[in-house]
This record gives sequence, C-alpha cells and structure tokens, in this order.
Amino acid sequence: MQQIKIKFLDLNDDVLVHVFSYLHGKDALFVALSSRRLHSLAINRVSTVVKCESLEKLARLQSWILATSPSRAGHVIDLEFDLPNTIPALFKAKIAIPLTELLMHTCNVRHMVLHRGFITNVTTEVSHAIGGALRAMPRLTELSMDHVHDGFLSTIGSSLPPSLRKLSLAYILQWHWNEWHHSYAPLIQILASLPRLHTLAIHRFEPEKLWTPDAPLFPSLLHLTLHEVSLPAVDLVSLTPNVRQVSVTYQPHRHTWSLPPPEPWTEPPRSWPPVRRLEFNVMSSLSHFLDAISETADYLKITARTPPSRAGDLISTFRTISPVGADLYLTVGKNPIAFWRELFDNAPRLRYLRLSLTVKSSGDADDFVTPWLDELVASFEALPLVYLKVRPHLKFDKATLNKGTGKTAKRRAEAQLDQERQLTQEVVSEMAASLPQRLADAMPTLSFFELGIPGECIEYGVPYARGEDADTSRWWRIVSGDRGREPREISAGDGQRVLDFLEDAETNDDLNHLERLVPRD
Amino acid sequence: MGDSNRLTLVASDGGKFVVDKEVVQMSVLLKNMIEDLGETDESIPIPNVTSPVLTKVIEFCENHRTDAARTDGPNVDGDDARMRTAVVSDWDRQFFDVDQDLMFEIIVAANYLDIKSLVDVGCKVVADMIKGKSPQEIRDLFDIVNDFSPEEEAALRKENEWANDR
Repeated sequence: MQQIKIKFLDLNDDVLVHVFSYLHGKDALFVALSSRRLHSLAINRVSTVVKCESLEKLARLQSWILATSPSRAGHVIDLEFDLPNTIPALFKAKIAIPLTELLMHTCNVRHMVLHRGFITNVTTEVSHAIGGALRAMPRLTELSMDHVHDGFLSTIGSSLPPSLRKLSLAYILQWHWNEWHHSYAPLIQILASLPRLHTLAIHRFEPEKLWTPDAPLFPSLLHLTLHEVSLPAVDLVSLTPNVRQVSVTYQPHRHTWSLPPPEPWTEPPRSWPPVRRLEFNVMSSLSHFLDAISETADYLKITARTPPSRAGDLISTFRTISPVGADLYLTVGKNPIAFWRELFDNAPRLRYLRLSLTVKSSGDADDFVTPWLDELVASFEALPLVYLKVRPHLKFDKATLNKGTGKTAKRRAEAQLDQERQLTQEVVSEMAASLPQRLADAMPTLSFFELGIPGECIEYGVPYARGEDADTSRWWRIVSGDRGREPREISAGDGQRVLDFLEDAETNDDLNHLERLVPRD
Repeated sequence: MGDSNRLTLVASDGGKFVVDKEVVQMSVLLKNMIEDLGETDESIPIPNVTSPVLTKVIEFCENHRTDAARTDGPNVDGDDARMRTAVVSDWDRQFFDVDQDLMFEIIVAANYLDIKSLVDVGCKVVADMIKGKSPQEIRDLFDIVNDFSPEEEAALRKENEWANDR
C-alpha cells in the first residue's frame, strides 16, 4: 500500500482551528496572511488577547476593534488594562468614553485583568459604567483587579457576573492611602453575589477586626489564597465550609513591622473546615489559628524557617493537623534530629516529607559532613515514609564571622558566603553519592528520594524570593534489585510528575498508585 | 484466551498491538467500542492508522495513563484554561520530535481515535512551530501556496496594523 503523506493543509478545519486556538495577536495574524483558507480560520484569533497599556493604545484599540461589523470586540477573550499609574486630570475624562464603549462590546471576555492604573484613575461615574459592562459579560470566569479599595468595590457592588469562577483582589496599600479604610461589607457583598466562585485570592486586605459573626458562608469557595492580609482577615477560612486549599503568606519580614498584632481571641475562634492543603509561611500566624484548626489537613506546607526553639510550635501543629504530606523549612544544628522523631509520633499518617534544612555549622568542614550524614540516616531509620526530600544548605554560626570594618568586613562576608556555598556543594555531592542507598537500607517503605540542590541565591528560604527558583533536584526511585533494595536515578521529568501526584494525593491509598507513575525499567 | 485486562489492536497494515484496556480507554472511540462489544477476545481493527503511527499513539497513552485520574479539582473551566496551559512538557516535546509527516499523522490518528490529550499536545506543538514566524516563513515551513495578490496582502496588513506592531 502506497504510504500517503499528510501535510499541514491536509489537516481538517477542526484540527487547524484547534492549532490556532493557541495563537493570538501577531502570530495569528501572520498565519492568516499566509493563505486564504488559513485567513478564514485564523483571523478571529488576532483579537482574542488584548492588552492595553497606554492612553494612545486605548484610542487605537477602540477604533480598530470597533471598526468592523460585526465588530472584532466579540472575539476578545482575554482583556487586560495596564494604564499608567497617574493620568493627568485632563485625560481622565477622556478615557471614560472609549473605555466604556470598549467594555460594552467585548461581551465574550472570559479573563480580565485591571491593573492599578485603571482603578486609581476611574471616577465613580466610570466605575458605575464598568459595573454595568461587567454585568453584561456572561462568560467572564476570571477577573483580577489591582489597587482596589472599599469605595471602588462598593460601586462595583453586586454587578460582577455570576459566571465568575476565579477572583483576585489586591487592595491598595493602607499606609499609602489612609482615606481608604478596609472593611468587610463591600467584600462580603461581592462574594455573596458570586455563586460559582471557587478560587479567591486576596492581597493586602487589612481589616483590624474579625469577620462579623453574621457574615454569610461562602460554600462555593474551594481555593483560598491570602497574601499579606491582617490576621483577623485570615479567619475568612471559617466562612468557607468546602474549602480544600488554604494558603496564607507574607512577604519576608513585612509582617513584623506593618501588620497590626493579632487580637487576642475574645471568644473561642470559629472552627475551620477540614482542608486538603494548608500552606503558611509564618509560623506565628499559623499558631494563632491552631485552636480553630480542629480537623486534619492532608497536606501541610510551612515555609517559615523554623529554628529549634520553635520546634514545640511545629510539633503541636502536627499533633493537631496530622498531615499525610508536609513541606518544612527547618534550621538544625550539628545534631539534626531527635526532633523529627517526635514529629512522627505526633503525625502517624505522614508519608511524604520534603525538608529544606538550614544547617548551622561552626565552619570546621573536615570533621563535619560525615558524622552529620550518619546522624541524618539514623534519624530516619524505619520511619514509614514513601517519599523524602532533603535540601541542605549550610550556614556558619554568626560567631564564626570575624568582626571587621568597611571593606574588610565586606570581603570577609563575601568570603564566608563563598565558603558556605562551597561547603553546601560538598554536602550535596556527598549526599548524592551515598545517601540514596543508605536511606533505601534504612527505610523499608521509601520509594522515592529527592535531593534538593540549592541554587545561587541560597540565603533565601522563603517563597516569593529568587532562591527557590534557582533550585534544582535529583530524584532516585528505590527498586528491588538482585542485592536487595537499590536506588536508581530517574529523570527530572519523572521526578516532577511523582511530586505533582503527591501534591494532589488525598489519602494513603493514593500513594499505592504512585508506583504506576514512573515506568519500571 | 486473552487476559481480560488487555486487548489486541490491529493497525491498517496488519501490525498487532497488545495493550492494557486502561490505556486503550484513553481513546473515546475505542472506549465506546469496547463497551458495545462487552467481554470479548476479538481484536479491534483500526483501519485508518498504520503501525508506526499506532506505536507512537500507544506510547503516548502508556505514558499519560495516570493523568486522567488527576483532572479533578476546581479546574473545570473547560477550554477557558486552554490558552493558559499552553506549555508542553519535556516528555511531550520529545515525543513529537519526529518529522512533520509523522507528526501530522499522529494528530490525525488522535483526532480520529478521539484522544483529547494527544490532540491538545499535538496542536500545541504545531502552534509553537508557528510562533514568531513571518507569513512567508510559515508558508515555507508547511508548504503553503500564497493565493493572495500582493495588493490583497498589503491591504490586510494595513487593516491589522494595530495587531501587527505588538
């Protein structure tokens, strides 16, 4: 049988339209210009993603998008406004008309982003018009607004379309704009009008008091991200009976100076629903709500660096939450352990553990690494883990840093960083060489071992910092070989898939399926 | 007398493939067919797909067999998410690192067998090939004949100037 070669143009229209659905703007236009048939299939994709970041562009956009009939506006799916922060008063009035006209016609928008320059520059009148336009967008599922404040939210009120699934609200900084006080009413009004909202992210919402006792419940919410919010606002969790993921994070150090101190509970905190995944990057904020977390969470991520002095907090957290998986950042000394032995006594369900260890060392590298690794292996012996990650990062005790002045001090500090980096690398290569086999021998249930290799900016131990992005990992899968259990290194892609799976795993049963993820060789 | 968890697929050129039922069921077409047939030892002919293509399709399904179980969660926005998740994994990229003919044959087969994830990935890979190229480069890449007159093309370019300079 003669083999018939298939060419691009032999693909049927459905498939080609599918291909073009991943293109927009210039890419879609250039496909459309290549031939008549492709023009008819791709031209509507040109205006699917529209980003407007200047007043000049707004004017051109308005004339281009509304020029044809039916207008191109109907094809717009992604719409983003990123106007300059300060617009002269003269222009403020001028943007109202093109803006509202544009919004009135882009009735099929699904994702919309309104950056800060947009909201700080619109008048109340325009806000009303925006509200009207939003209500007429029946397909809008995702909306992100930056620099919102109570006044704007009150005006928008309940005019957001009920089709919304994801909402992200970033409040304007309070200390910058004292006149805007953060209160619950406008936010509650919006949330109560969105029956399908499943994902909510709130940034910089800093009310001083707890949610009012008569606040309604928000049963549709499944994912909650609270970034830089005041502690009282975190109690939103108690109003979301079906929430599955809660993430509470603060910029490094910010919480220590700008947030109001936690109010002591005047009455017992309302209990939180059981969640699948709980993520905190500040230990004190988690501790504050520990009484409210009466149920278990399956996955716990605490990216706050926990020094030995706060181990007690961590252990009581584990006792309360009893997670299946955990991601922890710990500072440990020369004798790493005893400590997580106790963790296990308090968290019998724990099966996968990712540890980022900041190891305090006095700097005498030679006699340090070997006994430290021995101790590490001993401390994990017989623990029922399926997955273990260790990411080591060595840091010298402060006492090691020789005091000096000016350039000398700077040079010494740099030299110390270099030395720490070097020592960390030594530990990493030592670990890569021997640890997988030793852990396979010591831990009969272990299936995967991940070695985290700190990237260049290793001094950062918190998310939102560059450090983690530069990290890499190596993975080993423990298999039964001729000489008993032995580790085989697997590709980073396979390792990442195992990890993705674990992050989603809800029960220990899920872990039984883990074996199928990576093909055996 | 086969293993009830496995069945045999026969490609257009007669090549036979014994595959896990679970893997086969990633194809909506075959899943429906199996349900209609009930328990059977008969092999299933796939008349439109050749052995080399079927080999690749099965390789993909074997590799992605566990994916389907994990599509729960609130990510139910259907094709809304399409544009956002336009990233192709390393494995998938390598999988499609084949010559154009085979690539398009895989996509056509996936479309016929109704394997959504394979169609998605294939289309993303083709879209990635298009990105950043001029109209002429796209024509050269895919052997497309330009049937616009120079005047028409110029007029279309002018009309869409706004999108052009982005």
